[in-house]
Amino acid sequence: MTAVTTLPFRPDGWTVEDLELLPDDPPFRYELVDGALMVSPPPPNAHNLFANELGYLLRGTVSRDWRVLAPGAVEFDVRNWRSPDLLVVRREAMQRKYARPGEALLAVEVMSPSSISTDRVAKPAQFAAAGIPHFWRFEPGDSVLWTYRLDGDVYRETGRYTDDVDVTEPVPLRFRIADLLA
Amino acid sequence: MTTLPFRPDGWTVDDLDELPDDGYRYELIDGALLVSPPPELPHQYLTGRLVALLLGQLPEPYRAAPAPGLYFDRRNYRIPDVVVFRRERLAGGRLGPDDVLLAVEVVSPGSVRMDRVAKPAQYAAGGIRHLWRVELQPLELVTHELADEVYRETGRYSEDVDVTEPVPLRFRLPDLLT
Repeated sequence: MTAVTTLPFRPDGWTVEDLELLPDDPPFRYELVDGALMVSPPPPNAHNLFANELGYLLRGTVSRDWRVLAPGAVEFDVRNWRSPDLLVVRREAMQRKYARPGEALLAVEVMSPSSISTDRVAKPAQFAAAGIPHFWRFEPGDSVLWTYRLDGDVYRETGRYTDDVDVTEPVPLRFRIADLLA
Repeated sequence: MTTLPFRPDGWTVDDLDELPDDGYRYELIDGALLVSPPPELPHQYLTGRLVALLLGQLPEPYRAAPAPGLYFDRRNYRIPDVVVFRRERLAGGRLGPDDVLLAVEVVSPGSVRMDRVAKPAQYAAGGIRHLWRVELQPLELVTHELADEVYRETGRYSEDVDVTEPVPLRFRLPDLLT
């Protein structure tokens, strides 16, 4: 029998209140885009490993005012909710269910085959418009980490790393990409 | 309730037949599934009026249709609100980006982000020459043409529309909502 998942019926679109009603078996990933539901297949293990290990490095570097979440959850408005693979947010954001974009310092996406244009186009545009100051994207295929910084309401590339990463923003951090995936 | 078949590596166009026929729009973006609620009445009404107007004014060999499935590749499938295509395609086969002269997206409150960012990027990558966006609040038509793989805005209209590209068309935009 084919496994199926059952979604609650929402003729006017879904909101953040519906998120907890969505099934977590099988483990789809859900996001809300203007009330539409984006359903993605579960990411591969190497994807999660990169996000977790990078999160561990960041956790050891950021000040006590920040929290590192992998994955994170950002509520842009009641019909727009995203789950970046890694999110650095102000500690105060923990008092609510989901962070607001104004509380985020850095969002990181690890690209999957099913998130290519989302991670390269849609999310950077959305995160930049919402004012998240830093955005990083890791592309596992070529093992490239792209770093961007907000300039006005768009991201400008600040780095492209294939092995040794050495950044000063948003926090000073040095590591080897290969070490995260070892 | 609506049920989806589980695809651990993402969905493909082969799965479209298995998706429920429940009034939602199911689209594929790199194998992720985008499930959208049915558009609201003004959106659908304007779409219908625009198709009727286009069918009355389009020169041969062009035709217009609402909400066809548009196949980019196995993991990318979209449903534009309106497309203008060559008559030959009516003989059968899947509609691809090469068949489309103009795609029109009507922006309802539920599709602002997708219609302004994600869809243009995908249509541009597919090589669709002309993209129009109709905003409902306030009513406005924004026309774009592909130049160096991105869409450049070529015009904005809120009353009388008079364009020569992609084909000559004249109409009053507010008439589409009367």
